[in-house]
Amino acid sequence: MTQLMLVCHQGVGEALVAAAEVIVDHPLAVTVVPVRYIDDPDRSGRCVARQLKRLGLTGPVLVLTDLPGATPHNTALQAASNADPPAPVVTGLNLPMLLRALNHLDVAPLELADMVEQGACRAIISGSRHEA
Amino acid sequence: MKRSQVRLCNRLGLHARAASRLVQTAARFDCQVWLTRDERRVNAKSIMGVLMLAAPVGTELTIECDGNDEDQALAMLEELVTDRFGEPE
Repeated sequence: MTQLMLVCHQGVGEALVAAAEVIVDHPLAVTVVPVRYIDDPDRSGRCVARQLKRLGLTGPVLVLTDLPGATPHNTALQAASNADPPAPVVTGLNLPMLLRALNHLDVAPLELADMVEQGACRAIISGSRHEA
Repeated sequence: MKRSQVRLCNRLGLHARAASRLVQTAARFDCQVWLTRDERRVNAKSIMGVLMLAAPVGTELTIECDGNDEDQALAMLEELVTDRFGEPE
């Protein structure tokens, strides 16, 4: 089973997991690492690396981040590439991406990374094109 | 393949939690499960697929199950919908 780790701006990952828990109607085993703008990047990096190592003991990990180029993403990217084995990172996290990931945790991280990227993109629809 | 038409009777239709319950129920079976609204047919084991149907109360859906346990799957899914996904009236 692939394990999920969210590395996001503080509040974003927690809120998405809380919303997903309401939707799936059970508690989720998702690790959230919040990064605050005042945090020391080195310390954040060590925290992410520590969590990756901990999760890596029990199975492969997919890392999801909220904003490309932002500190949480850059921190996650570095820590994930240094992990053994390296963990794939997908950015642009939204609720559809998280739900899709949760729906397919039986898929290996690399393949799941592709699936969640496609799922998140497909869920961005102009309201006028989405007939209710 | 077994097929059944159902009408959504819960107040919020196929909203996120209802979709999640439907997907979790479908996933318990080995058979393929499809949901069709009008011309749109989606994999009922895909949460995003089901949500994309954007089906409000009163929508007619076709459930199709194809595989060894199709009878049980169809019965369970029909019951879930007619039971309003466990939601109050």
